[in-house]
Order: sequence, then C-alpha cells, then structure tokens
Amino acid sequence: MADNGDAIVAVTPGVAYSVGVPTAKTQPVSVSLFGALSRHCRERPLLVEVPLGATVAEVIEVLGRRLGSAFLEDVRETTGEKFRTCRIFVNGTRVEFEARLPGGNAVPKVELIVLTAFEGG
Amino acid sequence: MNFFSRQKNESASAQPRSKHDDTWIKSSCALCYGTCSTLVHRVDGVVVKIEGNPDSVIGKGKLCGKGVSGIMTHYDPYRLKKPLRRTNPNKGIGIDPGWKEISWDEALDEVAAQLRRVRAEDPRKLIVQRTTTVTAARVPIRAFATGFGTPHYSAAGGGIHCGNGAHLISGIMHASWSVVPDFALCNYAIYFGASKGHGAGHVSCSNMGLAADARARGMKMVVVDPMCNFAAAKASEWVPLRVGTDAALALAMCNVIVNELGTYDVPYLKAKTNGPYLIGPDKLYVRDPDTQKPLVWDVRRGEARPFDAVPADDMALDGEFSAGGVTCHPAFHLLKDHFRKFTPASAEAITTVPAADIRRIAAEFAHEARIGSTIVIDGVTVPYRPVAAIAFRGSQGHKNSVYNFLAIDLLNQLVGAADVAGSCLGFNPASNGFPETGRLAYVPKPGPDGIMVSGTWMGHHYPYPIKEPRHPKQLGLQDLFSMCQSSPFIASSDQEQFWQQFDLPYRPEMLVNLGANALMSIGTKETVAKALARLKFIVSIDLFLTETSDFADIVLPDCDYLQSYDSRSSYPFIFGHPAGMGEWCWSMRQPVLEPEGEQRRFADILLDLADRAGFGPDMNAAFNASLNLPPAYRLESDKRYSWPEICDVELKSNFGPEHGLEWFKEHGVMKWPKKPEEVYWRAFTTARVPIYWEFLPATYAKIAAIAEPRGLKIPREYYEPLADFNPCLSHQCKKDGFEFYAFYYRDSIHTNSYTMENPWLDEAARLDPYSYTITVNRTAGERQGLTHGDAIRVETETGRFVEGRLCLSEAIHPEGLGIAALAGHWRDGMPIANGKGVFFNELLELDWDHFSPVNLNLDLCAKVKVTKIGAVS
Repeated sequence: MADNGDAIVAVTPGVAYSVGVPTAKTQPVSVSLFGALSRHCRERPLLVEVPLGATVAEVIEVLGRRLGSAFLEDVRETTGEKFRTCRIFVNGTRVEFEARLPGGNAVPKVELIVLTAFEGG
Repeated sequence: MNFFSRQKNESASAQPRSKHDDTWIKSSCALCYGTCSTLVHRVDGVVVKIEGNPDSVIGKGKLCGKGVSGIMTHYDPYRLKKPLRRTNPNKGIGIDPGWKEISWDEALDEVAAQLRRVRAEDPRKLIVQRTTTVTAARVPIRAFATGFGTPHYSAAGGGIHCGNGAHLISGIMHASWSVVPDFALCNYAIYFGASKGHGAGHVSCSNMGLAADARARGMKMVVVDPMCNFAAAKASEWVPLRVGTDAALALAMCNVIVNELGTYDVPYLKAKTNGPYLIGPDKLYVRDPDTQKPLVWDVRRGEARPFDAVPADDMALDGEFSAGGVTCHPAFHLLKDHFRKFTPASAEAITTVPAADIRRIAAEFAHEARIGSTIVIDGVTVPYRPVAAIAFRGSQGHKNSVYNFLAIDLLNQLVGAADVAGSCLGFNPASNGFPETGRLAYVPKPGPDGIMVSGTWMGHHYPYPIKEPRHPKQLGLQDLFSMCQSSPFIASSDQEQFWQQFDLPYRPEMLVNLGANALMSIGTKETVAKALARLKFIVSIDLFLTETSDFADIVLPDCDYLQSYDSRSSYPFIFGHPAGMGEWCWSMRQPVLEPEGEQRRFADILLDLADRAGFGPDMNAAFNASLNLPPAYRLESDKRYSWPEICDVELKSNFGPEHGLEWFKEHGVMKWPKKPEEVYWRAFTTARVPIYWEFLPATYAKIAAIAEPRGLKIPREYYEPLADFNPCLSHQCKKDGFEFYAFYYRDSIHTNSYTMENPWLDEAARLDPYSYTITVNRTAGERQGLTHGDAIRVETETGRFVEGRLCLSEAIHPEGLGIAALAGHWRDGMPIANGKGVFFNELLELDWDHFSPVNLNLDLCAKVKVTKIGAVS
C-alpha cells in the first residue's frame, strides 16, 4: 500500500482492514452517512482506512472513490469546496475539510449530513 | 349530522374542566412570525387573556390585535381533533374528499409506509412544505426533511412571494435576512414597498414601538409605495409610484447623490465595498497573477496591487488605469457612469414620480446622512449615518426582483449607512454570544476576495459566495438557478416541461404538508391544484381543513401554539428580534393548554413518523447538525426522543446545564446586554460588500451553458454586474381597457390566509374599508364610471379574474389596483373565512415568463381591466 493519501483505498462496509494490510501509516475511521447521503451507502457505520492523521477532505476523497462521484457531488461544489450546508462531525465535534483526524487508539467517528437549504418566509 | 358538526360536538366534551387554577404563563405568540413574547392568563383550564410580556425584548410587552385574538383561533370549534382519511380517490377543487375518522396508529402506519416506500425508491420524490405562520415549525420540520434526505423543503408561497430577493440581498449586503432602520437613532428613512414597524411579521410589536418613538422624536419617514396604507399612512411623506418600478426610482436617486450632488462616503466605499476593485473589459475583477486576489489602484504608489496590500485611503475610486496591460476602472467608477442614464426625468417617465421630488428626496437623504460623523455609544465611537433605505416584499416582488432590491440598498451603501449607528441595519447579524458559554457567537467575515461571507447565525442562509450552478436535479431547479431559495417550479404550470427539458430522472410523489395552504398561497388555484393532484400521496398536519386539505389523503390534527413547545421561538434572530442597541433576548414557547380530542403536537408527530419509517437516527443527526449541539449534548443516534427533550437539550447547550427547559418555562426569556461592537459591527470587520456584482456575469455564463443547449434562453440583461431597471410583463401590456396594475399587500389585520378564520380579526377586517375590498384610485375609477361599493370583476390578459366590492380611495396610485392578501377562502372547513374578501393570487400566472430569471421570484403584479358587474350593495 502506498504511503500517500491518494493511493489508499481500503474500504468495505462493516469490515475494517479488509483490503490490504493496514500499515503504521494508515488508520481506520468509522463513517456514518445520514439523510440524503445515506442513499450512497446503507451500511452504517462504514469503516474505511485513511492515511494516518488524514484531513477530513482526504477522508471525503477516500469515500468518493469508494461510493462514487455522485457522493462527492452531494457534499462538494464543483470547485471542490464543501457545501456550506454540509455538516461534518468528528467524535461529535463539528469540523471543516481542513481538520485532521485525531491520533490515538480510538477509531475516530466521522458523521456527515447535508442540511436542507433555508427557505423563504 | 355532517362531518364538521360531529367533530365540534365531540370536542366540547373532550375539554377537561376539572382543574382549578389562575395562572399567568410565559410563552410566545405565533399569529405571525414576529413571535412576540406573551403572558397567557389561564383560569380553570381556560385561556381568558393573552398579553405581551414586558420582561421580553421580543415585542417589548406589547401584543397586536392578532396576538390578543389568538384565543379565538384556539377555541375555534372547527379545529381538527381526529386523524382523517379520504375515501374519495378523486381529487380536485370542490370535490368532497369523503373524510373518515381513523385512529392515530392507522394514520401513522399508512403515512410511514408511504415514507418508507418513497425513501427506498428515491427520497427526492418527497416534498416537505410548511407554513410561515407558525415559526415553531422550522426546526423539527427541517430536521424531518434533512433526515429523510429530500432537498425539497419549502414554505408555500414564502420565498417566491416575499423573500427570494429580499433575503438574498439582505444576506449579501448586510449578512442578514432582512433590513430595518436603526429606529433609535435614524433621522430619515425611506421605505420602498415595506412596512417594517407598521405591520405584521418582522419584529412586529417591537418595531411598532420603535417606529412610533422614532416618529415622535422627529425621524422623517418617506414611503414609496403604490398604496398609502400601513407605513405610508403614518409617514411624513407618501410617494406613490407605478407598480414594480422601484429600481428606476432608486437608481435615479443614486444618480442625483453621486453625479449631481457628489455627496457620497468615500472612506466607506474604499474600505467597506468593492468600489475600488479594478474591473477589466470582460466586466470581471482584474486579478493579481500570483495570488489571484482582486487588484485596486494604489494612488500613493501609482500601481495596481492586491486589495489587501493597500491601505483603504490609498485606493482609487475613480479613473482609468492599466494593470498588466489591461485597461481597467475601479468598480465605483463604472457604477458612477452607469447611474448617469437614470436621470430624474427618465425615472419620472417610468415611475410617475416627479423629477423634482426625486431630486429633493435624494438630496434630503444625502444631507441627513451626515457623512463623516461619528457618535459615542456606551463609550465606543462608531460611524453615525442616521439614514436608511428599506425595502421588502413590495419592491422585490417582481421579475426585476434582484435589481429592485439592490438598487435601493445602493442608496445606503453610497452614504455609508450600512450597519452603523442610525443607519440601515441587518437584523442582528453579529453577536459575541451568550457571555456564560460563548455559544451563539457569530461575526461576518471576509472571503478570499475580501467580500463578506455570511454564515450560520442566520440559520443556514448562505447567499454568498454564490453556489456553483449545476445541471439541475432538484424539482425546483435551485441547483441551476443557484441564487434562488424557494422555487415556483414545485407548483408551476410549466414544471413538467422544465423537468423534461433537463431530464430530471424522477417526479415528486409525496407531500408532507405542515399547515401550509398552498392552493391559496402560491398562485392561481387551477395551476397549483394540478400540481397537487399529480402527487400520489399527501399527508397534511393542520389545525383546520383548508382548501389544500381537499387534496390530502391523510389529515392529522395538530396542536396550536398555545399547546406547543419551541425552544427557539424567536431564533434565528431574523424575524423576531429587534435590531439596534438594547438587549439580546432568547425566548421560548410552552404549552398553556393540553391537546384537545386526539390532537398531537406536530413535532412529536414528525418524530414518531421518522421512527416508524426507519429514519429516526437520521432525524436525530439532523437535529445535532442543525442545532449545532456540542458533544456533551448530542442526541444519541438510536434513541427515541420527545420534542420537549430536544428543546431541553438545545437550551442547556446554549445557556448552560442550569438553564434548560424548566428554567425557561419559569422565566420565559434569557437576556443579556448588546454591545456597540455587535450592533454596529460593520465598522469592526474588514469584510466588504459588493456594490458591483462581479459574480453575476460568471453565474450567467454557467447557467446559460447548461440551459441554452436545452433550449432555455436566459436573459442576459438580468445578470449584468450593475443594478438596472428591467420592466415587468405587466408594464408591456398595451391592450385596450387594461389600465390598472393589480398588486396585493399584506393586511396588518391578517397573517397569510390563516387568520381569516379568526372571528375577532374577521370582524375587524369587515369594519375596515380596505381589507375585503378591491381598492382603486377614486379619480381613475370615477373616470371609468365606477362607484364606491360597486361589484366589479378584475380580469387579466389571460382571462383570469376575481370579483369583489370596489373601494374608491385617494390612497392609491392612479394606475394601481390593490387587494389585501390572502382572503377569499372557498371551503367550509374554515367557515368564518369562507367567502370573505378577494383571492388575489388567482391573477398570478405560475410560469417561467413570470419568474425572475435570477432568483425565480414570482412577478406579483398583473395588468388588469375592471368591469362593473353589479350596483352598490
């Protein structure tokens, strides 16, 4: 397994470390997709391998490769920026794309949901 | 015994009478979205009086006629009390659904089965719709839609009537939902089609008090409006204009201020707007090749440099320059030149406002702005610009929606009267948060180009940066027309044509309706009825059987505001909280009475449905996200919560563990003082606002690239970076006999179509000469042989018509025809409302030709002819 983030795609719903052998340079992440995003993957949580200390944006990239471009279209602008209505939480704390996953032995829990846009009134 | 009388009789016996109490309970009104704080007097289980809560900032102890009348709505014997299922499969206007009472379990299981089916197939097939009347609806219903996974969430009529323009531009220019004068300090306010402080809705009772105090203090108020009603009647001056021509008037005033008087706020324009940004021949910013930052002309160094590398004082606002071989001009230079075509004389021809008046009012506004002055407030020195140009639904409710509103706000921007003392204020866009927890803090910040990015304080309203237009996958096409919030395509006559045009891979099948009466609140009923009839399943959670209920498969009886909880009845602070100095105030709503019959609170109905349909964890996640709950307070994914439990969690998360629901039930409100840096935040941010909308041509190019290959021509003239006047279709009607511009206004006696059923408000409306009649200018009417009180027909070019009694009045523009919205109910589920007043929306076409091609706001006017059909009654 390559040691750069782009090459790491080790994802199988419900099963950690199922593709390749995790190295010291990767870490498992538990991802839960809610609301509209859940149609991209009914498994919840989804366990994925990402680079150690990956940013949330890198986690999204990994998910995009696993779940397809339609998933990415639902969380990102065509310019690659996160939708402002997309909420990402790591261990319950709201984060942005730039945030890095925490270290330690515990598997970080990532949650994603896209809020419906505000309406008029 | 018919259905209605049966429900009525059973309810009388269902009301408990055994309790003996005499209690005043702190809560919040919901007769309009002003959500004023209330004190409700309950004696022996019966509400006998509702007053304003003097301890609250929200309403400041006052309550309007609607608020005190809430008792009558609550005790209306026609309130729904049992779940109903239709037995007649045929749906249509006037077709009896054949309601049959069913149990809650039957009803919820049937709805949940439909939800499960649709969610499994494609969650986008669900439309979730709510009313704007009950603001408490927002959080749970949004969490329901978000958790289910549909993007199709709207307020029926809201948005396409009242806010796609106002909220877009108030967001971009003021980081807010709407704008209002800083009443306590403003000396000169101009209203364009707005009634802030004189009607219902936005900060209703608080603003009424503030506006009255301001007028007593001497604030001059000029109201530009086709009709002299709620605001104009109390103004210093009423300026009647031709319907829908607000941009022409405002731009002519800008021209006078800039090019005739030369009275504009140079330091403000340099430091707080994109006026100094250099614009190239392609109408785009000239950018630094290395950093891609917009360039300005540094007059001290004589060269173009990135905007954030040059002190504002050294930026050029005028002139022609060369940057990297590109000939360019500051945006303000282009704006100034652009204004020249809007001479007062040309504006008079468009608006009918005399050129002399345009010059005078513009000069007064510029003079009263006191450019350069400051004031010390609570020891803090802030800019002082005691003028405000305010707009709302009337001016932005046209095909030229965006420019109409923007042109008006440019008046504020030119003189620096934006979010500083005395000026045009956004509704509380900045806050340092609750002092004890730091929660609820938000301050607008600049984006990479230095332009203000507005954020979460407003409740997930993100008008800028503009979302990238995409090939549409939403029913409303908001992903293509990305400056649109609420879309008319949910109900338009040409929806199928557009969905086919863009190969939409699904069609809507189900509607969850919370209290909205879409058949009345959007446009002509025939068109909306067709859209509703296409849906396979509709569940409506409501207080009454309405015109829209005729299309429902299941109707569930809701509790009203006197029976319900809401942990944030006035938050986000966009409707209910007064701007200006004073106190922050968090209010809530609690039940004063228990449900009657089998009524249930809608929030708990939605939680139950999510649970039964298998997306309870998703709805919990949506609450966590939308309420921004911190880790210690997050809802657990698989746990079932009640709505009061969620309210408790939210309150504790914001105000600390000791300030949960029980604390708020006892105290009613949480208050803390505002600081000048919060209220007059503009002086304390480096964020700029765009007086030149550079992003519009690029947005146009992206939309056109998607739409035009599929045969949809996008009119370029609406996407130029400088505000302009584009006429409505009604302005282009030249047919003989069509002499009036029909428009509607929000009657301060009523809220939407809902309060028409209230007997006290109905009585007030019947006593009012305007509420239930059709108003035409007396001279213009008499010229046509019409007499006050005549029965008349008002007919559009397409043959749509309404009928009603004529009110001849001097208080309307000679070409105007005014109808109060939203009357004219025709079903027997609301018998007090039935047959009262005139249903204006019957005159509104719902198709692409009548939408703003930028934000899809509906054009709310129609050229009409008037025919006498009966004598004076």
